[in-house]
Amino acid sequence: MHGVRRHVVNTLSAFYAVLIYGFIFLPVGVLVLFSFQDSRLPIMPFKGPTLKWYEAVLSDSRLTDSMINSFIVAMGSSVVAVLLGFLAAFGLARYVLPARGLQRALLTAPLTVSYLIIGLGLLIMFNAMGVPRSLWTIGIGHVVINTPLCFAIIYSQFGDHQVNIERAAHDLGASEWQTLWLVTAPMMMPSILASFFLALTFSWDEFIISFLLSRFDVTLPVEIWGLLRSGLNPKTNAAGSMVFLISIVLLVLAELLVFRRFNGRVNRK
Amino acid sequence: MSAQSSWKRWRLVLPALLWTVAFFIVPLGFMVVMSLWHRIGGKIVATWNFENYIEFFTKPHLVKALLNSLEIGLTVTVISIFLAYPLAWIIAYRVPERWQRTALLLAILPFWTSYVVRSYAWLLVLAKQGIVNSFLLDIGIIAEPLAIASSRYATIIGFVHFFVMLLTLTIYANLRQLSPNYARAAADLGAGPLRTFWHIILPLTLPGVMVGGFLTFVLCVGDYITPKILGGSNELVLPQVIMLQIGRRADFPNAAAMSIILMLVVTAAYVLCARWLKMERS
Amino acid sequence: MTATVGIAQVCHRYGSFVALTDINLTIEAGSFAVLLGPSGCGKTTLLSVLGGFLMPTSGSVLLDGVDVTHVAPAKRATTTMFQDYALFPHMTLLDNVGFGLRMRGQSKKQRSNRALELLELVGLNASAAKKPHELSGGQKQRVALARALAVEPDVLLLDEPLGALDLKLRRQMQGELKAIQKRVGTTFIHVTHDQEEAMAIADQIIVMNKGKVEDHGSPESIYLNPRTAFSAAFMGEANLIEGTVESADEGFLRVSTAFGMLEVPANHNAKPAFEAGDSALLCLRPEHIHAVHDLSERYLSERYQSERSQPGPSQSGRTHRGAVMNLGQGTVVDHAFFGSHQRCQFKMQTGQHLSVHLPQAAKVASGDELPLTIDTASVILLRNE
Repeated sequence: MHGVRRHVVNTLSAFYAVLIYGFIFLPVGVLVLFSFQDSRLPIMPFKGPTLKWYEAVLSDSRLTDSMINSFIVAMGSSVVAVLLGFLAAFGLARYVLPARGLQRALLTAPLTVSYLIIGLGLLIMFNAMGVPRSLWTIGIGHVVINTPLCFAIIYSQFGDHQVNIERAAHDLGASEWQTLWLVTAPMMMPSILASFFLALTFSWDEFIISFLLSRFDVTLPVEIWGLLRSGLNPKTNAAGSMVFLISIVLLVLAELLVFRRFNGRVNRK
Repeated sequence: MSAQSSWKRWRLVLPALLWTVAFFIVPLGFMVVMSLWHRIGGKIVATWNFENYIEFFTKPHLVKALLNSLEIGLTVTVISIFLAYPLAWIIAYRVPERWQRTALLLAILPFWTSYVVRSYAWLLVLAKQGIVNSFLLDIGIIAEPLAIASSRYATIIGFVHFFVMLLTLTIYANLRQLSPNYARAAADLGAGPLRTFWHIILPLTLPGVMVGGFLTFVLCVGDYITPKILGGSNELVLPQVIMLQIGRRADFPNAAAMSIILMLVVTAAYVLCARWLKMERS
Repeated sequence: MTATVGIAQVCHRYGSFVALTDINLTIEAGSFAVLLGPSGCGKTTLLSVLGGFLMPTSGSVLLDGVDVTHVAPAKRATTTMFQDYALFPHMTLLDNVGFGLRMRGQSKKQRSNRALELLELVGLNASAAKKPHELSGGQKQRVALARALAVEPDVLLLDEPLGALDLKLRRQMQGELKAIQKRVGTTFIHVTHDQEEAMAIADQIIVMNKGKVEDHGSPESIYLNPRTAFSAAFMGEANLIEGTVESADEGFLRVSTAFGMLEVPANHNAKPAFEAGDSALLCLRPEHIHAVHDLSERYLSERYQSERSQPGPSQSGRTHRGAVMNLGQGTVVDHAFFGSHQRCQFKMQTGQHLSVHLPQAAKVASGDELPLTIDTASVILLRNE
């Protein structure tokens, strides 16, 4: 490439990148900025900073309760989803089962259906069966949307090179469960953890299913939605910023704990 | 094959299959049944007919909601792909190797804000007294604040924001999977950078782009929150109409019928681009 | 620690594809056997049957006379060393090698002592705390060997274990494998497609092709007296010439070929025995063919003597028995220097191409014409199937 052309391309690239990054960060930046706004209105000019809205959020027991609810549901549903997804991925990757394609299609089908429809279907079913709405029903819904995700991620990482590793374990005397527990699961740990963290953030963030399937105990997104509907409330900015912060912490943790640690291993494969 | 060994092979897949059947397939069945019933005088009556579906297509405002959904979905998908591809390309080919991961992580960071909060944050930006308007008023480009919020433009901006992040991630992953030797071979055979991109890089990444685009469309068409918060109630989309049936009137039969129509639309989209969507195990 | 392996009438089919046809073999305890053949010949399938990973469609596998066909790999006194090593990526070398012992309920101390012993055997005890991804290919291969031997199998099955290594390392590991096998005394059954590797390590070689055993014997007997044309061609280079058996007499057979009538020693490995009128293949090893200009006086004088003492009726008017036979003029069409020898392609007057190894110092150029001869005692008679 000619020097001049390269220069032009680089300049244009930098310009474009700055523009898009600006677009991506604009709403989050504004949100975080106004969470420190020392006024009830989230409009310019900026006054402050103040931490009083954060204090208000933390002393609002409904918000903190819903945060805890969200955490419980996210943890519980992600563990179940990863477990179901992993076992199914293992079963389908290792054994020749009849109607394999059909099973795979069934397991991943919820990915192509909108959350609203999944939630509505569950709501109609639970109503018909007289099951009361609770954190449990939200959790069930979240497992439905996250199992296909965990299954797909883990299934894609099962390869033929691992078959021999499992055979070797069998050959050396390990039972099927011993092999699963001591060899397969640790070997698949990067994808298991990746799908777990993804499921965790999806559940933590999910609104419509939680909204449809909750009654008295609600999750954080539903509670924030309630705040929004009750009019302009500066606490929303602080609560939203905190959710963002918690997600970032989760993400950085995942990055440091899972991907950095396993990167070397994966790359060398 | 003995019964024992076939159980052995099934038991791993069975829990997930049962869960999917019990909490996904069966609820869909309930929904189909519900869509054939009617809410009459505050009670749901098992009428067993297709009235709800017929009604949907005879009421112009409902058909308009479906069309709005499709229009917004397509617009968002196209804009997002066009915005995300160059960014993914820049990160993959113009950012030094050691900074790529960080650059990518930054590009998708706001992805992890709560999705309700993200839409609300756009409201802060786009509202009449939001920072875009106050900025434009300050520098004197406009005399009156723009009414972006509570319009389909706000909905589209909110969606595009989200899906630019998603698509940047998937397209970047696609670009990185390509062996650099393809581009080298093309250059070696005399193709310039533009022709290399057009004939080699683009076709090779197209399947990944299609998967991302399909996902964008599906998620867009099925979303309630973003149009609700940003689009307001001037121009409804299908999910908003569905939620109205449930929220205001507890009209589950109608909501169920519309949900099934929505699902069929998505299925049709899937069938249309099925041959580009190969989500197989590599 | 070691066992005789018996394979009786083993057949295996994958759907309609026949992978193994009526395999009957005995591999003696403590020997180093090599299953040799091209890819797709069934050697790896046979190894899987021996290891218990595959149930044969019919037939049985015996260890020291006991039928183990339906015994699971874990319960079988065989251990497999996989082509890709199959080391557990998340465990240290010590844990990898100790895994089998852990499954047998040994205490942590017992098994790490034993694992260290085995790592020492393969020269990796200093790396016991490392993980597999920190090792080179050769080192991984050694750990896999140590892991397989840790459980003291009677039979060790090795599935192309050296395939991924570069040539030099492969030669070195062949030596180490053989030395370790002699030391532990375990029966080794090793699969490879590399005939040089087979000759380097095997006590006995089993040549396989298209799901059948083509040949079975020591490297020497397979090279010098192969049973079939396939075996002859797979074990080293062979020039195969068609002919017809005219008559049999005193362990020698008269065969008419394009080069004339040859009297060659009977090959007792090629069964059934030849009768007059049978179509045959003659295998001429490249190193047994000589270009006259590099022959010593001794050969030349022998040739003239034999020509004088052995007159007989044939196309060329002579029969050659236990002597040097003239193959006629050959034209050099290609030649390459191979270090210890030069490999030349000759086009003969009969139209046939012959591959010939000439001495290192021979001076040849394309287009040269040279008379070629062969010692008929070195010609191998095979059935033309």
